[in-house]
Amino acid sequence: MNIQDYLVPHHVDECLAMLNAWGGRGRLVAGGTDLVASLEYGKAQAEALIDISAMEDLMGFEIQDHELVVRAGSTHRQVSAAPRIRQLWPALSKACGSVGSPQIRNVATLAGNVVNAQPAADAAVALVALGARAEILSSGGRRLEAVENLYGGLGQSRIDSSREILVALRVPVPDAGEVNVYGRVSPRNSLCLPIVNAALSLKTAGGTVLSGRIAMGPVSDRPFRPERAEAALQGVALKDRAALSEVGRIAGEEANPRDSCLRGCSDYRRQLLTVLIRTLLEDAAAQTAEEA
Amino acid sequence: MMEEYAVVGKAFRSVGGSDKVTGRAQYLDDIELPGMLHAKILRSPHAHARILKIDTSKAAALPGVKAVLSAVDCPKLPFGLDVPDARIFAETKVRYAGDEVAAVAAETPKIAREALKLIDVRYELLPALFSPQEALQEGAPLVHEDKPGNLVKSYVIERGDVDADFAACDYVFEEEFASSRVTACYLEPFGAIARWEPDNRLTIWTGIQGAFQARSEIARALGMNPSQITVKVPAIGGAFGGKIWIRNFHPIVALLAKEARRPVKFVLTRPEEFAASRPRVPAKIKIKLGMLKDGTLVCKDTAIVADNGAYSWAAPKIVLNMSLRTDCLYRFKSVRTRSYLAYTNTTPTSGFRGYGNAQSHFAQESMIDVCARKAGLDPVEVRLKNAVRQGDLTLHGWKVRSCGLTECIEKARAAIARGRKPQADPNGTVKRGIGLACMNHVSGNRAGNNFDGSSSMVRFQEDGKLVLYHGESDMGQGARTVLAQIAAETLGIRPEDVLVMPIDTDVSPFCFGSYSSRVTTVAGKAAYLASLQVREQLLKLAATLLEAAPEDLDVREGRIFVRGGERKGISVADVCKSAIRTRATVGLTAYVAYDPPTEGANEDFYGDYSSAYTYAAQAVEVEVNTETGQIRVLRVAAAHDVGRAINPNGIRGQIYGGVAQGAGWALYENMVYEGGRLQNNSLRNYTMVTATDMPEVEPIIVETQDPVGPYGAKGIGEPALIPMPPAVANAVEDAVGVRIRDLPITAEKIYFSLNPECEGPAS
Amino acid sequence: MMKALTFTLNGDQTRVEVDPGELLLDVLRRRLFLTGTKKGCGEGECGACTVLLDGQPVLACLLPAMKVQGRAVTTIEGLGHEQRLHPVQEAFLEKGAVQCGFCTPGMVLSSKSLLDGQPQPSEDEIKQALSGHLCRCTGYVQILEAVKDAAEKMTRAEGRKGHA
Repeated sequence: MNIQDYLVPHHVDECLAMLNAWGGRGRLVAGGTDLVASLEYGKAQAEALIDISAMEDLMGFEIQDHELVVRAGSTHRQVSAAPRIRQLWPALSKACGSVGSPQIRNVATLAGNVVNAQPAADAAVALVALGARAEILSSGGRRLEAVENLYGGLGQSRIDSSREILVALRVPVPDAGEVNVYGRVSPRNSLCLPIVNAALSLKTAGGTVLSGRIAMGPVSDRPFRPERAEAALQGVALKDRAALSEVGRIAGEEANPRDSCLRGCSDYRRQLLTVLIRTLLEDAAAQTAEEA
Repeated sequence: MMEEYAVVGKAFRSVGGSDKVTGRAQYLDDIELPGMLHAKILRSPHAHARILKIDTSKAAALPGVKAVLSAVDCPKLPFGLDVPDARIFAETKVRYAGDEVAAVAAETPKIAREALKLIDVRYELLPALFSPQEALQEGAPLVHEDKPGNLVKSYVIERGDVDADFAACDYVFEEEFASSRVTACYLEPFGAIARWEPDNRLTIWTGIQGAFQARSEIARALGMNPSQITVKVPAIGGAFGGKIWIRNFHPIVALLAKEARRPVKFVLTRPEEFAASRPRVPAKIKIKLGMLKDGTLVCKDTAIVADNGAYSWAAPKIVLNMSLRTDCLYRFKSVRTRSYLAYTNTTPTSGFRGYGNAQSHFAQESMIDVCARKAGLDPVEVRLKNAVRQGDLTLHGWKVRSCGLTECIEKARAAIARGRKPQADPNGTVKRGIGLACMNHVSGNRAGNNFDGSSSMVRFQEDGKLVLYHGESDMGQGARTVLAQIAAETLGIRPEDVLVMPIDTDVSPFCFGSYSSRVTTVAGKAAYLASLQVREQLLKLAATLLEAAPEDLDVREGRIFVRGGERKGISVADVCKSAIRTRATVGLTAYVAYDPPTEGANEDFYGDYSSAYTYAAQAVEVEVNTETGQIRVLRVAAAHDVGRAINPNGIRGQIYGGVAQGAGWALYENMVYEGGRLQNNSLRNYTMVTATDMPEVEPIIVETQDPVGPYGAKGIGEPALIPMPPAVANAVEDAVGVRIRDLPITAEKIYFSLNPECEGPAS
Repeated sequence: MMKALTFTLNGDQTRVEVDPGELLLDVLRRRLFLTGTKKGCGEGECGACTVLLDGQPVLACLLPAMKVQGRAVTTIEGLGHEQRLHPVQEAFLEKGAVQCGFCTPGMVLSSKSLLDGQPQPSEDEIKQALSGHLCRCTGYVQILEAVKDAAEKMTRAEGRKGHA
């Protein structure tokens, strides 16, 4: 990598000014764990790194009105370890705890996980299922976009981190009867990208699913939402194991995982998704039963 | 009752351990020499291609570049082992994706990397061979034009009348097994530093397992005499057989240093480690086995086809081991093995913990279970019935001087039976099973009539500290600790008072190196014998000082005393001072070259070639998810006949580590290629076990007191890995009734075996 | 353009000129000659380059050095020396948790960080804390034993201090 300068802005205006000054040749760096490897192997180019981790206004997370606001500086560890998040958004907490290793989770940020746009990214899969939105700032102004709309192809984010800042991720607070779950399948227990992963967010009442969102990875160029399986969720009784299996089957059918010499053939990965989705629905059923 | 010792069998802190926990231990990449340059190697991206042109002029012109080399600049002397077919750089063609094409030395690693991009190589692609089966087909393209049929080596080994014995058997079964390509994956990348000395001698620093073997191979590649070269071995960050032999970078770094007239360092990157290191020889092994109704194993006919890769290193020797060793685990009446080793356009294969023995054990120990089940017998009982025993002369001529195989089987079986989990969960998706596999191995391996020993020099200093020189590398397995314990025990001093010297071929006594699980047994014996000689010198001088007869003296904890009159004594340090600082002129030094009492195998591979054979049985409990095929190894009971435990902490460490590597291989370690290119060249997707994957392990140490090994000890370096894959395969069949015959035993394979109606991946 | 990096390294205020994109691992090893921090992969997978940043384990091979500006870094050289080892280092030696030693500095630092925050961790917490470190030699068992042993000894020593 041929980095000519390393800049540390202290607030977002200064950061935007730096991005503008470098005219697309500067890149934001948060934790840096993905970016450094990409720069090292020539997969990414930049002439200046603009480090956002010292910006007070991008630090921490909080619950505001009806949203959890995870600012860009928040690390996977901070999010996965927060008791309040574990309680209300167990899917997000668990997904964040599955990324990389403890050392990586200590520096890697959720915002970075989203901007890096990998379809297997655990936190991003959870955020999509939870209906999270991203707050993006550029010299043109501030905009809100659903996380699932930020993907522009494999590994391609529609956020241009040489010109824009993802300042926060906003996750709606679950209503009563709403539950969320996350799970993954990987050959070993740690330090491993998933063969498949999935997150679910369900609105339920009286043991019946009113509606639900499912996100799965890595089965597409982005966290994938199986529309038919989501439709099939409506009205399903959480005690009805056969019905849960059927949703899993449909989700598996809708997904189109590639044959991979490392992750397994498509049919097998579809089977894993079928089982994973059903298992997660069972977990969700157990959660609602606990709350009731 | 075995004799109790003061030092042997006791837990001691590992020699060099405090340097490692404080970060002071110096590994190769920690060495900085004044003026040192950094080297990078340009490797072939193609599996097989003719080199049309190499233009290095732009790279040479880049500021900061001090040397650029390709084949035209180097000696063209073949090097390698049994079949020397390697050259320093690819000359007319490249034979695997990773083959060395050119190299650069520059002021910084970054400049060297930039320079590689400026080297212009034109290739003409050639048809490539990715499996030995393809390579052995009539009319296949040739990997080496002078090696017809792509055959590196073949063996036919026969004992007894196999065909007649098959005819007399109650059952004859036949199965084929396959082992995958796995890599040693030590944590410290391999590398070397070269510096030319004023007298035109060459110094090489490299973390290699066999310094003297390295010296002679580097000399051969460069056309020098071994004594012109000094090999120095810094701390080694793991090796497992992957650092036994030199690589092309050793002569390359020497030539770069010569060209640049500066010291040059080269360290493999992790992707290079994957693409261009020496993975375990993959093999397809077909076994036909004949047995009687009562479970007696009678005869065995084996056919092996193994993958040598593009250049030949240790694979011929490894295939020989693969062809012989498991025959001596049970009391077969007759055996026949036909083996073929073929060139392919893949990374050259070589040794990794087990040296061929691991592959054949996967086949045979899986086969025993398959046959026993088909015959309605208990596989463990079949093993017990046929196990080789102490005093046996095996059909390949091994003299079994000590053998705890039966005890190992019984103890491992009992241990795994204790605390078993339910065989199925209530919802029926999770099933559990147990399996057991045995193994035999060697402690040293004599090739022909050659030396198979080790040398040791011990010398007291004037302050009573002992200096021990040896030439067997400590890659972390604890060679230095065991040698210090043996010397301390023999001399009656504390292990802390023994200084085990680093390896420098100018100073260290001649040794072969750390492989074949031989160090404790042969280097330990050399250290023992040298220590005995010095003990004699020490007691003789002490006797004059104490005015007693030497035979009445004993030495314990650094103090020499008259037996029965313990109060009359003198410290070892005082005797040493008297020996060295007076006119007594006692050397208190001994140099012993020890060669074990084995004759070696003849040209028909018959003969006793190791002074101590080791035995083990490992039992495992696994859990299989029938919906996904996912498998977990829950528990392992690992019973090992180690002769006598010199360093119990170290033995436990070898067992745990071997189990971890064996479990990784059994479950998921596999180098996956597409079109000759490695798809998982990173620790991200070459998956070895982490702390959260490790099963619960119960190490069981069985002591049989070997008559030859020092204090009765035998080797433990390789054994614990070997039985893991077949034990896991056997346990999987016990759990869910499917037999996986090719490694690794992935969840996907189990799933498709459980669901034969589903179409599996095209393979 | 070189940048001036000022940070606390093993308790000492340290100033060093670095390239703007330089990684912490290279600054430690090549500029400051602290070679106890190892490079096993350079890809953030093996954990051998682990150092503590404000007490938390991070990977020096993925960290731009400028990220430690004004912060505190602990490397293995800052933990203990031969005459006065940290209890975790003592326990690693005692339990035979060290074989080749290449993963050891990182393992020791992650263990120390764990015990600083959680003096009596469960077996699972120890495994999780070490899950970002690959070891090819030991099968991890004696490493886990060592961390447990260190935890017990440190807790006991704390207790004694409390009573005194």
